[in-house]
Amino acid sequence: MEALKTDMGSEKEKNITEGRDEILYRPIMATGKGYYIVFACLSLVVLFAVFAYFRQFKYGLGVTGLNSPIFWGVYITNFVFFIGVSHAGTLISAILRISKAEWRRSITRSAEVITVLVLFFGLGNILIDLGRIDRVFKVLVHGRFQSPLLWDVVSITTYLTASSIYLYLPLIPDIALLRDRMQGGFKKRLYQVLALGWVGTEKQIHYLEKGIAIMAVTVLPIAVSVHTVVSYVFSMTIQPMWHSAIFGPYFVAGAIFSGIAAIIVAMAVLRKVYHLEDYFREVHFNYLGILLLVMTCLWLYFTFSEYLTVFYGAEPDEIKVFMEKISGKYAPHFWFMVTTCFIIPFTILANNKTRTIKGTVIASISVNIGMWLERYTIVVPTLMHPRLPYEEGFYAPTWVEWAILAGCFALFAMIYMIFTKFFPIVSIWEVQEGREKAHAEVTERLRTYLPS
Amino acid sequence: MKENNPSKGDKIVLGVQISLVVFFFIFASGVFAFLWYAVYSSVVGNDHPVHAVVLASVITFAFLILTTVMTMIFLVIIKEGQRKIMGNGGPTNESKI
Repeated sequence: MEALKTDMGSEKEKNITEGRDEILYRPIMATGKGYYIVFACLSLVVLFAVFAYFRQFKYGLGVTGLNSPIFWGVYITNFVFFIGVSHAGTLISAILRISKAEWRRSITRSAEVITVLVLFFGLGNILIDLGRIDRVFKVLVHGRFQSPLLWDVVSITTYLTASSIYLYLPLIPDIALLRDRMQGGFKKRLYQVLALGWVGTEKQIHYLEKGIAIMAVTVLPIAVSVHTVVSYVFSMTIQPMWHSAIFGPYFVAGAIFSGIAAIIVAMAVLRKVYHLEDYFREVHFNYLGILLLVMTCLWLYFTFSEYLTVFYGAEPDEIKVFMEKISGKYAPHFWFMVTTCFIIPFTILANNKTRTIKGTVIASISVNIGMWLERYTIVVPTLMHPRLPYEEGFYAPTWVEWAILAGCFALFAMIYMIFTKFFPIVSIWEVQEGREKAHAEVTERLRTYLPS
Repeated sequence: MKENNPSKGDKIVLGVQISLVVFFFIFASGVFAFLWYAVYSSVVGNDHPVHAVVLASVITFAFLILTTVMTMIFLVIIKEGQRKIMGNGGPTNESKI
């Protein structure tokens, strides 16, 4: 793997390669005015969210729309949504890496970063939902493994650790490249530490590749288990329309669905902002668009199965929740979800002519809105009609919850932006390795066809 | 030709790198302690200990893999990097690109 050897290769070849990938260093070496303006705007949103959170911290959860019996709302919806989006990195990177899909090379990094970041937001929303954040220590001290809530705690911790390692390992050779470019200062020191003394020896390459391969295999079952466990938080109760055997795979499919949509949106933004048209090409959007189309159909299949079973069972408590979604207070949410999760993406992606970059991005934004609504319509209507003899509940999120939701998205964008200022958002060595492999394959083919 | 002894800056870098590994070990130890304390509590309180043992074992296994990978990668890469520096007497913590 020549691309990993930072001290090898002829001078001429090195110059060509460096020149070719120069654009990948640009966001790290220079920062434009637009970056600061966007950063400042996002900071304002985050500050407003912080203000909202402190208000909640001071006055308690009474400032939210949460009440009895609807004790879960926007925060839990965010939690499930963010954990779902975290499947972006795992799917794109681990599955495509294991299946040796060559087209993955330029898109894995941007997907892996999403995974690590959104997991923090998923966990963060749980802490916000607790009201009193100090209560988290009770989980550590008095945790009982019979509770699916504790399964969540341990599985998400494992997933976060595994995803962070999986993000970091392929970063090492790129950090070494950056270390060698920097003249001095804080960044140079940071890269020196994080590069771990990478010089691209045979042994280093061998162990790094081994490590990445082990992590790719390990992170997959962990990712699947995480979203299955998230679904168990609902399905292990006997609440109407939660107590379902297909909730595990339904949630995993939904997670992969929203994960792919998230990575498409992120790629489109990076492509536009950092002029990475050569790295995020039409073919990437096309392949991911096809994957999204498959997941759209799978999502419809799961949703249809779930709702049809409830309808035919006609169990009174379940039908109450079902009707609330189909034609009751939550009908607008439900039908808007069906439109955004299926009708819009299917119409765009099933047609070759509309499955363009623009079309794929529109479909992905639509899917992300729809998947958030899906989580919302799973959480709230059931709690509105619990099996226990409560009066029918009512929930309307307050400005505090909306502000915190907006703050989560803004903070995510800010941290993502900061990441692009420190590390290449496209894996430089993987792209170079891909080129070398392609050259070798072509040479081999020519050697086979033509006389020497 | 530079001298073969690593500079003070290199020693600091190496120290921070080793601290990262140590920090990871502390974190992993914390996770193990949490898991097996929950198992201990469930056994002492006769509170469905089988649940606890099964779950703690699965997560322990996953963390053992993660710890092994981290240790292997960190130690091999750091060691190789240091060997290259000492052997070449070349640029400290820098490749030649």
